[in-house]
Amino acid sequence: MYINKSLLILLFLFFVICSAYAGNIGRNVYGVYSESLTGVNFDTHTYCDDSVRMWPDNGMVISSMTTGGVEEGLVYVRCKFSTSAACWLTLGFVNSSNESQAKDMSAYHNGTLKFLVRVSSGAECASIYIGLTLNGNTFFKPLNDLVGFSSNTINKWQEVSMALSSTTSSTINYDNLGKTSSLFSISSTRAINDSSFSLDFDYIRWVKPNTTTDPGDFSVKLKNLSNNSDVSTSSITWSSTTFQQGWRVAEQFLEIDYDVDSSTRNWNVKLYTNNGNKLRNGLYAINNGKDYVMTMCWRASEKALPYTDYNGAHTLYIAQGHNSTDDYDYLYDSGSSSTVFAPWLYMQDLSTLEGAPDKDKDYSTVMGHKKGGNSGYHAYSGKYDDVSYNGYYSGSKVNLYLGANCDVGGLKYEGNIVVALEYE
Amino acid sequence: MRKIRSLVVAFVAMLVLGGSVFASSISTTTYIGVADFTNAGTVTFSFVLKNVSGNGNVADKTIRWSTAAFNIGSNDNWVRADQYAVVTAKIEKAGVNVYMYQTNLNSTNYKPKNSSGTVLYRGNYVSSGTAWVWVSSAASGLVRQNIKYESANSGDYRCYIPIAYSLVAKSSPTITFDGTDRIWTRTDGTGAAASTIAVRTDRFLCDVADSSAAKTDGKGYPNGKGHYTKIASFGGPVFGSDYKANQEPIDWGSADVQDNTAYMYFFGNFKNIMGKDVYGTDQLHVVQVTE
Repeated sequence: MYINKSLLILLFLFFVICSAYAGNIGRNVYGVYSESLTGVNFDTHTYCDDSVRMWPDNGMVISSMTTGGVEEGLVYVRCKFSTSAACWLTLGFVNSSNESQAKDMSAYHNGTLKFLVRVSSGAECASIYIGLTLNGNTFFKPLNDLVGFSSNTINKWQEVSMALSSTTSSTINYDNLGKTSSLFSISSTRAINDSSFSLDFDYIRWVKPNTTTDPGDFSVKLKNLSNNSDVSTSSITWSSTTFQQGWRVAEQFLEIDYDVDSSTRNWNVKLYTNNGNKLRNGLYAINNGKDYVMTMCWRASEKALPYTDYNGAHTLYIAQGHNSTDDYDYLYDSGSSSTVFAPWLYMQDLSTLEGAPDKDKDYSTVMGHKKGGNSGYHAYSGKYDDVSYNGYYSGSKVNLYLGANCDVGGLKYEGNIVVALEYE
Repeated sequence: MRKIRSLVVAFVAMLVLGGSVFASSISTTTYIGVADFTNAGTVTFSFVLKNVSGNGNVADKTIRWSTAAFNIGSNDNWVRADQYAVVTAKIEKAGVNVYMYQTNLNSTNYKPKNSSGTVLYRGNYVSSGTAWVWVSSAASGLVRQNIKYESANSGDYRCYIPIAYSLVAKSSPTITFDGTDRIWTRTDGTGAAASTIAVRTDRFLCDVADSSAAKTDGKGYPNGKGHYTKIASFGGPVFGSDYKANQEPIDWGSADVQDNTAYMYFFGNFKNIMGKDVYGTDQLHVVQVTE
């Protein structure tokens, strides 16, 4: 996800939060506003298969913020309420009760709406409501009923949960969820007295029931690099017809998907070789009693490679550089215009998941999350990579590309490549 | 030295596959990475003779020493040949080696015999150390041309001239060789007089049947004999834990040469030579082998 790191962006109309592909509805965790959940990203005026849009109305002003303490990802939304009248913000599929554009969210019945909220003071909170529009009916629940603010919690992010069931409102039932228009609404019931009052929100998602104890759905698919088709075997290959000394990308890539409510557990997704020897961090062959190793590397990307965006080209060309200051080697995208774009990480063998050339980096963890907070982490990928932030990385599809250093011919190399999900 | 021959030997390939046991985890998915490069990888090799003076090509494939260039005497007298070789190799396959060796017993022109017809090459002291005794053995280097029987105890009748050779990184017409310390000294190749580079190496032309203890260490080609015979091989892998992508393209056995091209110079030790004699070899082979 690419974020323009300007300090403040005022949006008086609306902007669109799009899901990157069809099929997000029905996942264990459905991202409504997030940088880490599947397919959610910022892109104005772009419609996707189940596009989510945001409408501020009647004097509500919203801003995309990157400063002032971000809890999830790099950006959150700040709401400034009207001081002359009640106002509201609708975030959903349609800004009305138009049933033809509503979507079926009944899979989340008895689940939970979760989000992060931060307020600048508690005095105005009594007039702030959170709501949904289901089957043409809009209900609102006082924010103070969902989360209490005190002197200890003002100006601090709070995790809020609202049951998607009759516990919250009789409006929330299976049938009405089948025609969901608004996934998240904020309103004030009156003009705000304190013009400095602000409400920030972030990481809005709908979570299916029974996810607290459920480890989630983890899948790994092998796909052909040439046409993105599924591969039925378990072999990852490097073509001998294109043998050429140097780093080469494999003919297949891995598509990882972990659909889980991250707030409930610690977890890691790791990638490593399992060849029983830390020196065999790739494919290897034995010839005349001598080990020949094709050192491997990998790279995580939310988007299919290669592609080009406003940050330039993102390719599958790999080259090695050297950091002379700290004296370590790194692998960079040699097809990129950037000279510091180094998204490739050396592979490590299970025998020792340590000792990376750059000691500041974890070379075996693709993504992960620590329970009890909103901190997540993912593979460090370089200056212009779309996942270079310290936030969640869950409920998303990630492509893992594999490279290897092809220097020695005349041999057949093999090795075990493992994708592992660890959780508790 | 009369002739250089180049041969290509058929490939012999050996493959061994490895594997391992999974480590435990909550949920793992394992894939087998495969890169079958059995028939992949480029191997090229060239050995081109040139004149030291002028760098022109040598048409008759002969390396010569100008007889006017050195004195006859009983002291070490290392003299550079008038030709050198530009050796270029690109080896992208494991187990590929290039050897240079001699088979002087196969020669008809350079194989001295005694009156009984026994091939004799070298003088050697007997264990008592009191006299020279001819031994039946192959000799390395340049061989005296079909001398007749010489009586024993008549001195060190030199029947061979040892030839040392270098592998250096630059064209070095003024290269020198210290035969005692085995040090080659070349210029930096740019023409600047100030910079010299010293490379120590024990490299001599070696016959595979030379029984000298110093030349039968079991490492030579083709029969384990003949020391110093390997001149180039694949540089070898750098293990993954080093996180190094770059590998040496060629292992020349020379700390000086770092890329695909080496310059080979020849020095002969013309000590105790006999006037009016001809020394040479027509049994010098350069071969590329996959092992």
